[in-house]
Amino acid sequence: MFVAKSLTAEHKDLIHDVSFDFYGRRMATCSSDQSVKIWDLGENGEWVCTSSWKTHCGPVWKVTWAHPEFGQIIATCSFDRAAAVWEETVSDSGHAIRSAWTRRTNLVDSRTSVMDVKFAPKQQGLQLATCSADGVVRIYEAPDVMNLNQWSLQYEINCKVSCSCISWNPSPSRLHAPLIAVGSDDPNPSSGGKVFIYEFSTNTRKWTRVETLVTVTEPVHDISFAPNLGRSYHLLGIATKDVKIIALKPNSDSANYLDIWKCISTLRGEGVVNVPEVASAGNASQQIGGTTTGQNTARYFKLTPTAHSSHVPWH
Amino acid sequence: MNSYIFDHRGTTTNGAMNVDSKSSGRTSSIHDPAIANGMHGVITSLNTIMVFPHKPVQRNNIGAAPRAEGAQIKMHQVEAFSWLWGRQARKLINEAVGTFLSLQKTLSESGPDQHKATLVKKCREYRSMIQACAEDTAIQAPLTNGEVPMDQDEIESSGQMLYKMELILSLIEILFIDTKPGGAIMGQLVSWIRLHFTQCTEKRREAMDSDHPHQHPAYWEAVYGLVLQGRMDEARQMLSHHPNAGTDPFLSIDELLRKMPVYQVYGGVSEAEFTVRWQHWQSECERRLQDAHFSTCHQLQTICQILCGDQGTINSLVDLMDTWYHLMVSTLLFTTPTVKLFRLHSAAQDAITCIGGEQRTTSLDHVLLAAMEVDALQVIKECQQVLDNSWFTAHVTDLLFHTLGLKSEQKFLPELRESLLLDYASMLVGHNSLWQVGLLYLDHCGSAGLAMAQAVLQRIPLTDDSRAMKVIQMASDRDFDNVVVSICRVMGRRALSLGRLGAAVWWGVRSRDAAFTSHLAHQILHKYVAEGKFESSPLLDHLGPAMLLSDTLTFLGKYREFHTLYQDGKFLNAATLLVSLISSKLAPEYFWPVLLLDALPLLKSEEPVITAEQTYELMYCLHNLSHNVNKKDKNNPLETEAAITSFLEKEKDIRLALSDNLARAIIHEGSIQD
Repeated sequence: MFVAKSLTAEHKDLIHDVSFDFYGRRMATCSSDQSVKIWDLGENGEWVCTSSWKTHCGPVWKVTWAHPEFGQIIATCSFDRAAAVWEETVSDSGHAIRSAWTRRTNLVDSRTSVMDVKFAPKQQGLQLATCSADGVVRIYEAPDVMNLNQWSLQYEINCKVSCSCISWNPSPSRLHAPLIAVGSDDPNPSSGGKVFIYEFSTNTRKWTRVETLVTVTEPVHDISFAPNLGRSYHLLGIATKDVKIIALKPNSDSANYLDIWKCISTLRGEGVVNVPEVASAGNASQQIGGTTTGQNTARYFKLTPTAHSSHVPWH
Repeated sequence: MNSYIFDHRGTTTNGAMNVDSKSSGRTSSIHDPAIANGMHGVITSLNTIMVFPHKPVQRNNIGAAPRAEGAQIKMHQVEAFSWLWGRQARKLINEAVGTFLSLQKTLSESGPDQHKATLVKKCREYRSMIQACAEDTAIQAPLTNGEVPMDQDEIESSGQMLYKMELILSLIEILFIDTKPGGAIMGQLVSWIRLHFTQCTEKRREAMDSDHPHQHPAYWEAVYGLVLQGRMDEARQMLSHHPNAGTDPFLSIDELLRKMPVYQVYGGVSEAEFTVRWQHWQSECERRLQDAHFSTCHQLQTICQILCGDQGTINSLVDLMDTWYHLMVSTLLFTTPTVKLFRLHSAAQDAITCIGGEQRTTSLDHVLLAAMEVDALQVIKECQQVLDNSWFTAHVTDLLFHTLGLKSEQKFLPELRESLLLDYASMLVGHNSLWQVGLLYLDHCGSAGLAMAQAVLQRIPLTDDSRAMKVIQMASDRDFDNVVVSICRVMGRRALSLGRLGAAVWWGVRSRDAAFTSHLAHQILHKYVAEGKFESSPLLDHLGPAMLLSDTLTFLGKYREFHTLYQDGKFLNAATLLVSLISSKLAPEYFWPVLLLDALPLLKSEEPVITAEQTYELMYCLHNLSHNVNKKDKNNPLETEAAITSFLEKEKDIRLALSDNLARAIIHEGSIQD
């Protein structure tokens, strides 16, 4: 059974992205009206807009939160070819806590619209990755986490096709090197696979493409790794016309290279589907993928254990 | 089971978005014309999706960028509402976790021969919980504020679900857990039926309450029903109220009813002997029937036919029995009372055929059938179909797992149990009041449970200090050091952003984050330089060995110590400490003026407390500092103009004091004490 609550977005134009903070109690929305709004979840379960300001000179495509260990930080990316990092400053004026968001840095290396921006997992320090419409993925780092004004461009990766979305593997460890998945919305099916997996080698200090998922030939609209939670392999959700769940298994011999990937499940969308998006729930469970489809239906899938442990049904 | 479809019925003009749930078939509508053209959603906590209208982006053709068509943009937060969040379920959840945990504990501590008794006991505890919950639901106690009242449909469906749960669980108890030696199950099955089918007792009460019971339409139905459930004494009692109770047929049937042998497992009568007696009794029934003892009263005839195990008669009374399993048990009672478990499923098939075949069976029936085939896996699978209730499947699987042990044919069971418990726990942890219960289950879910527990503990919103401490306690109980560190970091950051530097240091130290604590220590020192006082000094005074985390923090701690020594009047120790702080280079350069100024009163004190050696140290420090300050380049250690001028003003004073003290010290150390 479903219960739905509505709230007025207060944006003057279409919303392009909604992002929740680590605890799910703060929300950021970004819009074609070039602004970002921050919402806080009140005691009564209602969302209250606590900040709103103009962030870019064009529609803001994505907004994302950093891990709270670094403070209250968001990053935005926009059609105006820039990505920006913002930090909240709080002042106690005696009557109330007032918060203001200030721009800490403006990342203007891209020559085309920046389509996605995502922070790296916290174990890698304060890093973020952007991907642009011309196919370049850039990785920035703030070496001093106490000083957010200093960010440096560490790596540039040219994917050679236009990129629409990126996702960091959320659980790197000694056993799994840092991974990024990049999805491309290039409409030409003969230009090959549309999802690329890049891995970082600490020896050579370079990002190399370790995998191209050739079975994914339709434009990719969204991509997301699931939290690892003790598995030996990674789960990647890819939204194209359908939603594909791919398992990536690291090759056990050379622990840094991915060898086997396997599409373990395809969730079919129904009818004409325009903009599916995959979000693996940031919360504890790795087993939820939700998709929303543009025209007709939204489906929420949950991996439920059944008595047949040999196959994993998504329904 | 958990597939939900939001459907836009394209034909409506107001662009309603319908939410349809397969399991309950309810539909709710959200009116939003903007959504009609496209929708996007983002998942937040476990069961919530925030959807908002969206149009695809043509990245090259930004001139035609999506624009809202004038209507107000709305977002919709859609939440899955599970029965588990309801208030009746709350008690069930909380009690069940207690039973679950004590079950795991008792089984691990006791020997294998006590396992069965424990399992039976726990199973009965679960059953009574379900029963209590059902009663609670039916009563509809007054609501506390903020609760949504359940409508009649919900109450009914909850009640039905709880009834089914108890029915299934009690059958599982009989067929799997509380198995009797020799495989005899009749007695238990009869009790099971009696517990769950009470129409006959209700009818009896109805009839007996009336003025002329024997004329009441329910009278004979009640008698038949009682006989079919083996309640011979009650049936006899009813019959004794009949005006013809003294006549031959009635006396005859009374005798037959009285003398029916009932098999008891521990009754001391062997099975073979019982069978002989029972067959003897049944042939007596048949003889009396053939001898037309009951020709005058066709109802008594029917009763005797039941006693003879006449299938046709029993089947004809199926309306009184409602379900095939009642029919099956009643049939067995009068045909094969020593029936063994392994024969049960064929008896079940017969009964099903009688009521109309497979197509009349429901998913609940499938669960019961699977239980009668003693197929644990099938039972669990069917339970998932019939009940959208992870509470039930998780606990039942746990019971079955422990009951069946590690028998070879149940290879899947351990894994399945873990994943079902994980499934149930993951539902709980998403809820802001039930997450602690969820964690208790995660402790028993193997390595996946551990990983999830760590992830969950990190994601608990840290609304205030006490909540943070609680989560830290739970994390450290489980040896999740990385979680503790992470939480301390977050709390430290938060304290810093609110300007509570002392608290931030406290958290920073616990998070073992050297860089962060250094940064904080510098902030505190700068503040002291600017304002001349320390805030949160008690926190700083009690750092203990933790201050060694970072150099700056160590300096801060030691400097506080200096203050304390000075205030206590231990000038000699204070002086030594001060000088060592200066010479050890622990102090950041911007702080040197402060230290030198602190030395002034010591230099000028009546008794010499600073030795010549120490004075040389101080002079060296002063020399370096003024050299750096006068360099007038960017790297001036004293960051502000005000600090520089203030230092330069005091410089002369310090020099004078230093040279005075040097002279005094040399004389003092050089002279011989009388």
